[in-house]
Amino acid sequence: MTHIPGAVAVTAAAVLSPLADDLDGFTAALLAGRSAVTLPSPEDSADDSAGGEACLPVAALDGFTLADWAARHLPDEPAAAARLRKVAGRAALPARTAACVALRAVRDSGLGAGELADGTALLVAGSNLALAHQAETVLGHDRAPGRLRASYALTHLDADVIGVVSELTGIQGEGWALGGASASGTLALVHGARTVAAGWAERVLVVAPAAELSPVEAEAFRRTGALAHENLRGEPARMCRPFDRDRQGFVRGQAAAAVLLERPEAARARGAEVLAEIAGHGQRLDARRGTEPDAGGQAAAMRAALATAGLTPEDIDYVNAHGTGSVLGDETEAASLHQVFGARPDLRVNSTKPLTGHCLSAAGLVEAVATIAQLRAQTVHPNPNLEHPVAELALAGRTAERRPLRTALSNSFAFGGINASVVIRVQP
Amino acid sequence: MTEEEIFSVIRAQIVDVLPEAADIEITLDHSMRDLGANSIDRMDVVIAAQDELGIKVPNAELTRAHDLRSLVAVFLAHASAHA
Repeated sequence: MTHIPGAVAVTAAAVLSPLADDLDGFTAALLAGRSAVTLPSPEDSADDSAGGEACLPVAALDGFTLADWAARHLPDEPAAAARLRKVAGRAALPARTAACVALRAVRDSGLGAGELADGTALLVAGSNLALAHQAETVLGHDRAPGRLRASYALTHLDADVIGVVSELTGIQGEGWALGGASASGTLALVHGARTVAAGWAERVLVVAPAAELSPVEAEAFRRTGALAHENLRGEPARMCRPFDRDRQGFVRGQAAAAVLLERPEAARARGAEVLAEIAGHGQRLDARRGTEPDAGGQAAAMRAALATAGLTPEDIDYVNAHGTGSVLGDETEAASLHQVFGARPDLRVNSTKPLTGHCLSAAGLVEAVATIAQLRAQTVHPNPNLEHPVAELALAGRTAERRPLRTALSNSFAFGGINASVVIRVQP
Repeated sequence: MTEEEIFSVIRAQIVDVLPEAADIEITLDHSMRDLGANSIDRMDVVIAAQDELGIKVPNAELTRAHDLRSLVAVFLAHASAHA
C-alpha cells in the first residue's frame, strides 16, 4: 500500500514572466490567452550570419531590470531596493530573476525574519542555469583575457543563486540546487513537499530561476528538429501549438517562479492564507537516455502522484499538460493521458506553453503557479492555438472556460527519460 | 598618465562594481572596503582598471595598497616604470 504523506500548503506564489511580474497580472494574461511569444528581428539576433532563418521565436524577459522590478515591487523601500541591487546586481540573469520572485514570495508569505532564519529551507530548481553568461564570458575572454572578472568564479555557478536568495531572504536552513532538465521545477516542488511532509524543515521556499541558453544550445535544439521555427513566422504568437495538427515543435520561454510550502496546520496557526495544497507527487524514469518520450513512464509518474495523494483519476478536474507543441512529445503525452484518464469528457487538459513558451528548467514551477491561478479563478485558460485538435482528449478550447475546479495534475517530462507529476488542489 | 587619470578610471570601475557608491563622493582617502567592496569586488575593480589603463601590476605589489591613494600610487609607479 502506498504511504500517503499528507498535503503541504502553498502560502505564497510569485512569478516573473514576459506576461506579467505578479500573480494577478499573470492570472489575467493566462485567462485572456495572451501569448508572450515574439520573433526577434535579425538585427536583434545574437547570430545574424545565417540571416532570418537563424532567428528563433521566443517568449523572452526582454527589458527586465532589477531597478524596474524594484520600482514596481519595493516603491517605498529604498533600502530593500539598494540591497537587492548590491547583492544581485552583477549576478547572471538566473540569479537576478530568482532574487525577485524569492523576495516577492517571502514578502507575500508574511513570514518574519526569525521564521526565515530558523526552519526555512531553500530549493533552487535547475542546473547549468547561466549558459548565456558562460558563453559571453568565454568569448569575451578569447578577445580580451585581461578583462575577465574575478567574480566569474562565483557567477557561473548555480550555487550563486542559492547564495543570492539566501542573503536577500535571510533563509538559513538547508539549501539545494536540484536539476532534471525540463522537469527541474516540478522535481524541486516534489522535493520541497517531501521535505515539509517529512518534517525535515518547517517550511521550504522553492525557487525556479529563469534559465538562459547561449546561442549554441538554442541552435542545437533547432538542429534536433525540436523547435518551432519554420511556419507562421508572420504570426509568432501562433507558432507554439500544443496538441494541434499543425504543431511544429516547442518555443523557448523565460520566466521565474517561487512558492512557499509549509504544513497546512502550521499555516493556519499563524493565520496565513493557503493558496493551494500540493496533495501528491510522482516521479519515474524511463531507463532510457535521450530525447524520445515514453508514454509508459509518463503514465507511471501520473499514477504515482495520484497514489501519494490517495486519489483516483476520476478525482482530477484538470490537467496542466507538459504539452510543448513537439510533434512526437504531444502525441506521446496524449497517449499517456489516455492511459490514465481514458476519454473522460468532464476532464479539461490545456498547456500553458503557447502563452509563456517552454521555460525549460523553470517550466514545472511556472506551470504549477499557472495551475494554482486557474484553480483559484475556477477557470481553465484557453489553448489559443488549438485549431485542429489531434488528440482524443477533453482539451480546453480556444476561449477560457469557467467550471468547478478542485484538483489538478501538472506534468513535466524531460530529456533523459525523467517524468514528474504533482497533484495540486484548492479547498472549495 | 597622471594620478588624476588613474583615479578617474578606478572610480568609474568602483561605481560599475558597486552601484551604491554612485551616490558617494569617492575620495583618495576611501578604501574599497569602506565603500562596501568584498574581496572579489575589489579584484573585479583592480582587474578592470588595469585592463583599461593597459597595465599589469603583480599581485604582490597590489597587496601594499590599503586605500585608493596607495592604489593610485602603485598603478602610477608601475605605469611610469614601464613607460
